Amino acid sequence: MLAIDAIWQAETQQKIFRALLNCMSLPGEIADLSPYLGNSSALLGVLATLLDGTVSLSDEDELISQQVRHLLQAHTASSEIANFVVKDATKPPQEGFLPNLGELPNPEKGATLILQGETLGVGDLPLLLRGPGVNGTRKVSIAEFHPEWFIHRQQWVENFPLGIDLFLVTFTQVMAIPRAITIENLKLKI
Amino acid sequence: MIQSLTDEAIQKNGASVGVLNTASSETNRYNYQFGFLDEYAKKEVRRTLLKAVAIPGYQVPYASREMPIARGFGTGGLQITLSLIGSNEILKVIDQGSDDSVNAVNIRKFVATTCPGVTLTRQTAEATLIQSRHRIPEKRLKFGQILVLQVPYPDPLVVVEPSEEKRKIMHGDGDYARLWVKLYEDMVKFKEITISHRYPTRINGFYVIDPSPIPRFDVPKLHQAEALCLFGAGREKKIYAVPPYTDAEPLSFSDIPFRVEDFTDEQGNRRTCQRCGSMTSFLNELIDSKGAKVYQCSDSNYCDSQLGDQK
Ligand SMILES: [Zn+2]
Repeated sequence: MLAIDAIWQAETQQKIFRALLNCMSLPGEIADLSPYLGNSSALLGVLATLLDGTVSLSDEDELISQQVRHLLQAHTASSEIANFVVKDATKPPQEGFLPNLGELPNPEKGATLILQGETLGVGDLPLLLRGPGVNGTRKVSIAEFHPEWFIHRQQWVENFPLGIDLFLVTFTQVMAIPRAITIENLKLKI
Repeated sequence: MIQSLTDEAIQKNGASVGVLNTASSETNRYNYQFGFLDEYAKKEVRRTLLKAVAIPGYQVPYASREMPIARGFGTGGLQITLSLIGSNEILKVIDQGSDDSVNAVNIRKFVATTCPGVTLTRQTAEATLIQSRHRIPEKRLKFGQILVLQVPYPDPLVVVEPSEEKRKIMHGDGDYARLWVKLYEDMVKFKEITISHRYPTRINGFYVIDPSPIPRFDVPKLHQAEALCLFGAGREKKIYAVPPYTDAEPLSFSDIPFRVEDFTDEQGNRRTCQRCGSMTSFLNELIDSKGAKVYQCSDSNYCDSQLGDQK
């Protein structure tokens, strides 16, 4: 008998979703998804929870296997137009990379970016967050997420409500930085 | 009676839900799955909720499913609740502050039938999830709690602009000039705030929301709240949110500031609840058996717990 990985089960997806909602409500909060993931990564757990045939996915770095892509049902789109964009964030964004920022009357069309890196909670890249969901300011340190992603993000979100919403994932953890959040300690140079 | 009606509605609707996602194996003896909605409908609501939280105050459109309860009785709120709820949830349902109104009882029974394992409570403090219509509980909501408010009319701009397309542009530009003018004209005319419910409230300094038909008394509770507040309008197919620790400012003018309902009597004393004696709660006006006006807490669980504390 074929065992279905936990992340494809409705009960697991409800739990992962609540963790994601909590993260989105409390930017900087780090959720440990490992109790729900079985053998899968947090990236796959997030995608299995949120995607179906009605949304589009860009995976130019090929982080997802063909078999899993099929199960996700989402159709493939280029990173400029996809609803969900998955990137290997240990490397800087490619020259000219620009996700969909939405439109003023329809800002929800701004993409959800899922950046995969190494470490959340400790590391050499401190982020000082301010905005909705943060009580004052909140500092969170991360590692092996290329800093250029956050410098670009600052530009993508500067015209609120246009922008993108970020999930940062490691192998088992997830954290969110929605577009309304300001990262205060970034030196704006690329 | 209500129970059998609900069961019948579920079975009728269950047939039209169609083939279930292969991923969702959880069914029970009624052969509908946990949370009633199919997993595709939940995913749609869940994606919408994440965008609503990410863009505070923005009304995110979504594909709303038919529900086996009459519209106007909280389909939007119920869809959010069913997309959030897990078997370890502790749910409270209130309508107009009461746990025992027909609407609240109906929704509670529906959830009890379709979500086995969920614990139902009346205690505001112990609920992980609260679905409500027309009130935010008296007891201050805590960090980690989620409040789902049912919304009949989500767009505060509808009073000044009939075209949804134009309203979306106005929202996107943060252009509320016409709403300000309308508000100001009302205030000049009546020398005070005449809006009793659905008071337009600006979220995080950008979008103005209709906070649903809560009294003005409850609007300040949205400001820098610890709990997450979610708003669902089923008929209009919109979901919006006020995240925790977010500014929620009722629109007001320096010469006529926002104020909550006034519960002082002719002598200038704060009216009290005739049942529990509370001097701080939102009061309903009732007529007693002798035809006299009396006042009682609108939040029935709060009133009960005040009485309990006195024993
Ligand atoms: Zn009372």
